[in-house]
Amino acid sequence: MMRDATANVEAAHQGAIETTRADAEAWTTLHPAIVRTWQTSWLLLGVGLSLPLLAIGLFLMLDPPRWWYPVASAPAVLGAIAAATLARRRFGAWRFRREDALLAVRHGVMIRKETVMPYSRIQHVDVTQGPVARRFGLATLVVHTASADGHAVRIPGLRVLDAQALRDDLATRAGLFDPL
Amino acid sequence: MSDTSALEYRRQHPLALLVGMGHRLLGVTLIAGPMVLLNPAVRDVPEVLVPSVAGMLVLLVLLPAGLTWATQWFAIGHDALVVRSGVLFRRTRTIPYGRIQGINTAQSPMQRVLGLGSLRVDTGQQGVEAEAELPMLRWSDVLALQEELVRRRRPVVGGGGEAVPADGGASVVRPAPSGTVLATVSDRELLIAGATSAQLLVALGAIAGLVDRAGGWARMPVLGPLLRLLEARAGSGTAPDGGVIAAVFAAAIAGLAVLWVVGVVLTWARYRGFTLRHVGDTFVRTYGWLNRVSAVTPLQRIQALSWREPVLRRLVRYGELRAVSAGAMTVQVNGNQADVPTLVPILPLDRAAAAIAHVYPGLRVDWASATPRPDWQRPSRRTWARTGVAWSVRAVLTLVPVSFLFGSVTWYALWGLPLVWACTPLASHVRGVARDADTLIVREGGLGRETWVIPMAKVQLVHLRQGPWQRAIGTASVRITTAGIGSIADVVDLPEASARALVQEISGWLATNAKRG
Repeated sequence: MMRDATANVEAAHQGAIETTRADAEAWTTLHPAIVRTWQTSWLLLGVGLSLPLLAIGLFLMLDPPRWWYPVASAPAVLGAIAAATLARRRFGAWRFRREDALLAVRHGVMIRKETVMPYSRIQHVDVTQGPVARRFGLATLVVHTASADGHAVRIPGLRVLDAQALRDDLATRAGLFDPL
Repeated sequence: MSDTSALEYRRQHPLALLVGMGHRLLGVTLIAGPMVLLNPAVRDVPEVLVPSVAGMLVLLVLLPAGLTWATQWFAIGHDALVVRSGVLFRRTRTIPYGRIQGINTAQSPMQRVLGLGSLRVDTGQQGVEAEAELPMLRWSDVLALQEELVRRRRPVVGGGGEAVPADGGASVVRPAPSGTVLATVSDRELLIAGATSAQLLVALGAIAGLVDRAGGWARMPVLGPLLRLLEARAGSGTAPDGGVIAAVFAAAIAGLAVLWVVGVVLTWARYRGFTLRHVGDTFVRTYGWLNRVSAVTPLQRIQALSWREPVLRRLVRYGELRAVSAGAMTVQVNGNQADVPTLVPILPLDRAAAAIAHVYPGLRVDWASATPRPDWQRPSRRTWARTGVAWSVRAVLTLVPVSFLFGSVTWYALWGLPLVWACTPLASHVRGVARDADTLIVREGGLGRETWVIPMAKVQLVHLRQGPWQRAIGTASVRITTAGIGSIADVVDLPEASARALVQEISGWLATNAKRG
């Protein structure tokens, strides 16, 4: 059932990428599976923090104070709340666009950030993949410049093949493949 | 890359061997000397010690110094400088001439006596491998080498690395055939620089804190009993606890005054005779009284200029001119790393303006005015409240740790907040942005200020940032960065439309001009 839903969304997204290729000016969104990826990682992080604290209360402390268990389970609860409320909005706020000479990226729910990166400034381009993202078949594209703030533009939530294609495209536009 | 086996390798000057041994001998003596002398058993059996001391000297002094000297080589290749070093782990570094960010030489008093000097080549990478050093060479060789490297340095064809656009440095002045003196700094100005350094503000703050706590100290948990004890030891039973406290204050203030004077003298000795010259397509800075330094920075490697006016220097109408490049800007003096001054440590406004005009000849900026250009854009007036709140939050966050040190009386400082709020229009009056053809001028600050001159061709990234409050009042902040270390220019709280227009303008310029050749 869920698999079908994912497949549908994927088909729709495929269309989106096609139109993007036709019209270089349009904004591209991330792959919708990034929502599940974020939800899973935040839940895992919350539970991963909470479980040891709960275990300490259960097995190591003789008489844990009354506030111990609520405090110990707070990370898991916060993770669940973030997963329920934030992931979808974050996905909605994330977009990027390839223009003639530059890559533009927009993201951020509370604090909105827009970054403009000329292709000519690209130093190198990486594709990385965390364990959760790998489970959902997603990868993150990291574009490095020589900028003084050490800022690298990261585009999460691309399907591996898309990420690789985008990496090659950016590298070509940046002239990184030019023969010396 | 050239064939490294065909290169003619050169070693450091043989005297470097002696200097290295001297350094190590000094270290060994300082550590082992007291241990030997303070041990009473040693005096009875001095004969036994002779072979072991000799062995120690060979192991800790002769051998390491000799091996270090024997394994350090360098060579001037066809298109790269090759430097070999390392005793156990051999390292060969190949530095293409086109990547060189700076060539700095230094000579300490000891080296001057021996006729030696050191050379450091800055490659613009960050981290351990950033620089290649040739610490002990004949001084004439150092100067010849510096000249040779400057001559061989030329841009790498085919891009890569720092991504200089085809017209990179178009706004930078054309090479001058012979050297032109751009700025010199007099002794009097160096004394002013030392006297108005930022540490003075901290010292004044500390004294104010001490005076503020004068009455409270005797009642404090640890310090109070300690002071009373001190008083009892002093034996002045007649005075109430004010006597000792006054003595402590006097000592503290005298100590700060001495530190201040020492700071002034050190600044003077460090920068004595500072001269900035424009030679060929490079900037050359020469300075120093004890340690003589000459630093060469290729003009093309300069990413941005910044005119800094910290509060105290602004009061006396002086400032500091900085040129940031991707290199770390350091020099090697006697085995210690010292920062090279960014460009000119202290200058009055008119001479700074002349120097900036020399680097960017087309630039039309009225540096003396609060509105440097007719198209100057200031932060929106709607941000006064936001600036006030931001400053208040910062004041409270500063007071929390301070109040732990000096007691709750510090919180009375919060009565000063209305004064801070009254000053917020000042910040929006100081800050702003303008564009002159291919150059951006960005001014940051409040009481002190910093003005950036950034050629569009050097811009790396442009960020637009909008928090919830900014969204509500319709403003946004823009951050412009280049590859120069620390060159992050913030245009805070522009009206949203202007901020977007600024980003559009920069990206439009980059789209048409910054295509890689």
